Amino acid sequence: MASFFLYRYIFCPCSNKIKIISVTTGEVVKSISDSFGNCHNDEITCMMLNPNDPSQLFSGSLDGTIKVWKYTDVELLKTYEFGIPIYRMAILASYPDQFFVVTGIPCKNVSSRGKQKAQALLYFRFDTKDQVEMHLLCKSKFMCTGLDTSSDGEFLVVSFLRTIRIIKIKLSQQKGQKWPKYTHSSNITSITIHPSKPYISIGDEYGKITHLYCLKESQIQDPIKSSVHWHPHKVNSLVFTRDGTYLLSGGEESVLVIWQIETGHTQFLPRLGSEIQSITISPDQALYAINLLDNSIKILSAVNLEIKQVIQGLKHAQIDASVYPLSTGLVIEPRNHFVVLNGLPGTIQFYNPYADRHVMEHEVSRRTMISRAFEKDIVYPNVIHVAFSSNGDWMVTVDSRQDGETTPELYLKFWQFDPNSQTYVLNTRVDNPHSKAVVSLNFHPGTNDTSISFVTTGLDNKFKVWKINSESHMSQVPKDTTSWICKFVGSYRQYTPHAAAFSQDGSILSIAYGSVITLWDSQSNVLRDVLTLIPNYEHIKHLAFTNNSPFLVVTTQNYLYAWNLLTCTIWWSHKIEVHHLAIDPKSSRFIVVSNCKRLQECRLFVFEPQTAIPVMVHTIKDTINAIAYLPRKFDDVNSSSNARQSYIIYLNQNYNMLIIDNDCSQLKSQVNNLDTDTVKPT
Amino acid sequence: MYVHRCRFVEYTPATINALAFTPLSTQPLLACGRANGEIEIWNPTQRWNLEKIIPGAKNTSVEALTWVHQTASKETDNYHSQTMEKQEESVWCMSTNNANTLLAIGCDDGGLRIFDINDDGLVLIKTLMRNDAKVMALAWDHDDKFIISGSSDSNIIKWDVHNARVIQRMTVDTIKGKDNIVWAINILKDGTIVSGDSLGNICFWDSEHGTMLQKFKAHDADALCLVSNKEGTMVFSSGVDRKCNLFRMTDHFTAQSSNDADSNENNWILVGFRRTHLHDVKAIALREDLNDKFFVSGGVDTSILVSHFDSFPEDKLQRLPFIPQKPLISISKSKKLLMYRSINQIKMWRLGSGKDIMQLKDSWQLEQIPNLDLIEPQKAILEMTLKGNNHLMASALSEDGEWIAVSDVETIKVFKIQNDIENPDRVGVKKVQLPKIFMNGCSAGAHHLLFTLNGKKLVIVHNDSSITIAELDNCHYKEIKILNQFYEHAQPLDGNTTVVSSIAVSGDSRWLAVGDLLNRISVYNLETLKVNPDIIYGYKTIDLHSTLPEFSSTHTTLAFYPTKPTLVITLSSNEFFLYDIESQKLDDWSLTYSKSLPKTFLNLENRLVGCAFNPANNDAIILWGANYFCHVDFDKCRKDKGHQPHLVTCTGLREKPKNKAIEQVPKQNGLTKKRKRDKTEKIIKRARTERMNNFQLVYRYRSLMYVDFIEPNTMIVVERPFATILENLPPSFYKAQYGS
Repeated sequence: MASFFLYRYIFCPCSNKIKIISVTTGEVVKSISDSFGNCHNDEITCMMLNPNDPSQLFSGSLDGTIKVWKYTDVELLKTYEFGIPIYRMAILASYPDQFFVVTGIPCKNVSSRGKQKAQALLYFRFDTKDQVEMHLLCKSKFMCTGLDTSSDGEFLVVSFLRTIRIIKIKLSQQKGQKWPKYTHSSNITSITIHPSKPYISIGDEYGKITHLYCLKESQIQDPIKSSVHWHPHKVNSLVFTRDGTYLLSGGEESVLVIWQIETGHTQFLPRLGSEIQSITISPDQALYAINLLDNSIKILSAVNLEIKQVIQGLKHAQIDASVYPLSTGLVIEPRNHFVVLNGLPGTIQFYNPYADRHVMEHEVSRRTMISRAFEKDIVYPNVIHVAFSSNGDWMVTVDSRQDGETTPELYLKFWQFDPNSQTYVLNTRVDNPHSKAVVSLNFHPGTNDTSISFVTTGLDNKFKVWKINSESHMSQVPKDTTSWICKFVGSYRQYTPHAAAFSQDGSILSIAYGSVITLWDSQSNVLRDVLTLIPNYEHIKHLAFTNNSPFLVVTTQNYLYAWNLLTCTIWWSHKIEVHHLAIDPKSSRFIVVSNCKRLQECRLFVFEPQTAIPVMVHTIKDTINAIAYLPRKFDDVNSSSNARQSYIIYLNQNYNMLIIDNDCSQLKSQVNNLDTDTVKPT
Repeated sequence: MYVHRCRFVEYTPATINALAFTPLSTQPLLACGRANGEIEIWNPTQRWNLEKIIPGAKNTSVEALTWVHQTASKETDNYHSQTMEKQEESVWCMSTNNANTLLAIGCDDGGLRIFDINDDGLVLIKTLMRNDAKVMALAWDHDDKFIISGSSDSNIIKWDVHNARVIQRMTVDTIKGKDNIVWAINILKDGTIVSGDSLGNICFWDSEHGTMLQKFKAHDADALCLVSNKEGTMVFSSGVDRKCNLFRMTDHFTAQSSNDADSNENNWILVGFRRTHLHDVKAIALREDLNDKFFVSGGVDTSILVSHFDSFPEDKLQRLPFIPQKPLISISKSKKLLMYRSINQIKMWRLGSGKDIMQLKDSWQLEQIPNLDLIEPQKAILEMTLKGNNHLMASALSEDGEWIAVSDVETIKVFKIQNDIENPDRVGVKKVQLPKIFMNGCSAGAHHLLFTLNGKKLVIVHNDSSITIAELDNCHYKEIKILNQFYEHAQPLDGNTTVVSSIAVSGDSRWLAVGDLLNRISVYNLETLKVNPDIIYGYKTIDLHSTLPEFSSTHTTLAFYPTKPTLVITLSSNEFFLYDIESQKLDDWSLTYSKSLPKTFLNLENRLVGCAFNPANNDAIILWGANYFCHVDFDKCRKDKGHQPHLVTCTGLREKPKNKAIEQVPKQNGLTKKRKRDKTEKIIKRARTERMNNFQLVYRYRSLMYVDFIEPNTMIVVERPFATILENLPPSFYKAQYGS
């Protein structure tokens, strides 16, 4: 879905909010959001300015409403109820209170929205008493791939999988259907009408752009086709400049192509970084906004194609989660309390949750920025684990790549913080630290700055302790060069580890093997105790020590246990399906998340480890993908009365990042995702 | 089964320089002019049957071709294709006016010459001179008042024909210091001039004011040809970059009436291009009929591509074979000799032999042909270059390997082979005198030459379709006697003159079958002929044995069974018939099956051009076209009564060929689809198990020049792969593409 311009501001839909961002600063100027409780209940799919009154904004959503906003003071003017999800809409200046809406069968399953089939184009007319008049204009068994209106408001063109329907608007009100159904030889991905000439342009999945001269009545039966072909892959967006002399196209290759239509001359802007989703031209034709698949908007000057501004949201939502899962979870970076998580494949991203800004992208493994080689998708490395030392000087990552053809790659990388460049610099790379996949990566918290250590466990049944190589005997190595080596390799009965955790003071290392918890003295690496779960057929999923109290929280498929480590007994347990577990670093509390797929909601339970009665239970109409405690902002610490408690930050099913302020047990959420178009590229 | 797979015949077809369709009012024919001076006449209505080849002469090349309509005296449509070669200056282009009375040619010296073609000859009536820039292209205005010519000095000139002066000059884009050659000019119905130049630009010009309306950089290199349709709404262009482009006019109905200011300009669009040729596209032609809309293109890669241009550029293509329909090869089975005729040479080889492995079973298992190592390669034993300016038209080698007959347009020569004792690898020839045969006062050449199998008689088909039978004397080799001469095929039928297209002699040398393009096929008895010197110039007719019924489409070849008096006739529709000479009716098999041949067989892209017989199997026949041959087993057809014949493709490589048998299930109305499919599968299965494959198609050998049997179960296949022809061509235009 496209963002669009007004003057020097850009409107940009984020889930069910609309952000207004300044082009010059890149800051969010205004957000049409939930503060009045009357915003959309579901994702916004389309929006446009009222052609008759540019101070009004229409927004259509999957919740079946189109709302009219006065965006200058964030005021809801009117709500049109349709009752059916709205995928695309068109509004024409000469037909107020009339809508052309692409709709589909309401889809209950959120995850299958992208595969929504059987869509139709409907015409709605609201009279003064909100009485609705409705016509079905056309329908198809397939998804609508494009909707456009001609600049004179005479034609409406809509494309489904391979068919193109042209609707002359005057005729459509008399239910007349004059234009035949045109079929295209391959799947259509974008469609647009030339502003002055009688043709439409079609972009298809093979990168071909076809101009179909079919809008003049003499050419209806035998339309002339003319095609140009530069893009090797699908064309996601086609936009004409207002005078119709240039056509902008972009697609999977991350190259913006500017066609001079008359001569066929092409100009390219390559290496945009990610697949182009949509292109928008500012009303004064001075700026182009390019919406990229990595959840960013790049704003270019139309004169010299220089990038003026980049608005970057959280990356990852648009990546196929089955191939590149969010395996790092949410990791809080200790230095600035940035949230660190998987970005594009092979990278991790640092996100400032307080300011709602993308801070940086860190390339864990280098890659060539090409979309794909011929038709085959490239398999990228994926970052599996990230851990930081307590002061943030060291970052450790595990990344792997397995394409099924070449040798599986697995790397453990140690990165040192460089204060000058404010980035992490690679210090040591260990190839194949474990002979099988790495299960966990933990920082040893009790260690001081001179003898930091990390522990990895792997499916090869081993756990390894990594330390800085201080005993460098080689004289030629300068003193200040440090490197990391494996200091200890341990295993327990050739059992396969499932989770590992350090106690808060770092004295105990706990590793879960199946349904057995082993406790190790982390200084001497001696096995101290073995705790066994009953019933023991369930494998342990999560393992964590609570802060400030000698409790160990353990979850299995169906149970939650709290072990008292002083007595080595189960203090209490619950039969609950736990999907995620997070420990508050500032207090002894912990939170467990139980997603309910059936109800499409999830429950959060906050516990004090001493008691089985939760401190707080909260239900969210979302599915949670990752959760973490976020320490309060530094300046908040003193002002807030409840300074010890942290925020809860989580990612929902659409990879929107939200924050719960459990201070007042009220949901104060904040959306950190720019664009929630989660339709996966198919 | 042994196969002599011969690739040593280095036949190289010549570049196509010109293509021209007959005007719309008449029977469609395509003329194709080649760089060696040959002109081929193709008939699109008979599934692109190559009807005639007009041979060229030494050092000639057809550069321009146009059909001239002579309506003055004759009622029937009669076309002569005129070639212009080496007048006083070389001719670059040629065009007739719309009234078909004048012919304009553009010359190397910069002059335009206009000829009157109302009479049979050409009369120079006017010369238009400007400067010495070569005239590369010209076109007549629709009123025949003006000629637009394109010249090599980047100019397009508009001439007033009546006053012989230049009216307008338009200049195309140039790169500094370099002249841009205007290679092609076309005038559309509304007067718009289209030009193609050596920068690859296609320009549209307003003819009244001489201003450029639109310009397309459509070609990456020189644009060579332009054609337009009759309405002037489509323009095709082709060029050195191997592309064929299509331009179309948008909204041509309302262009004048609309008040929109810019509706008159910029209404041509480039629809798309096709890059199907492997080398420069030097000639394109267009014909719009009621039924067919043909677009043909040809060039340096020597084959013609045919398509219906309605859906250009995604149209289905047909590649016409580049190998002549009448074999250039004749063999002597007993002596294992192979003779090949090029445009001015005769070459003869003695075939080699392969390693003799254990006798293979006498079964037709084409998929199991083993590759045998050569123990003795073929030997070239004769290479003879003939004097004279004209290219050879016909040649024959007698079965006993003793006689060679060759002919060009003017003379027929007969040679007796003499073995060289000192050098057994070479043979010599001795010319034997043939009595001069005159036609209309000049000495006559032959279209076809054929020795009877016993080597006693020579059948000569002359240019005017009269047939002469000569007797050879094997003892003296001195003089050849003319036995008879007859004119039956030279006589016009319903006012149409025609030419003999094929002849055949039966295995016992008793029967002669002659077929012409009007589909008259006659069988004559050769044994009743007596030596009679008196009838040399007489008009006595030969003993006509029978005339065959007329077939629905033109026949492509005639062949006799070697053992029985049965004539095989193949048609351009890929049907074939067996005709029993003695009982004078179609053979039993033919009566039963010739009308129900497998559909896939009939729809094969290339026509049948020959047939061969395995002496070991009398009940089978091999039919071959330019890129396949098909083994038809009559016996299996008979055994499997009640079923339609089936076609099976043999890949020739694998043990189990891919099941591509296409079945014609007898229609039963009550069957549901699934049951039908089941039934089809069952039949296919049965076909596989019982080897019911009475039609076996082999694609293993491509671009076949000749197929025959020299011994029982020993086959000779002469092929000329397209790739070897391409290898010998100069490198073509190349531009790197994404992904390559």
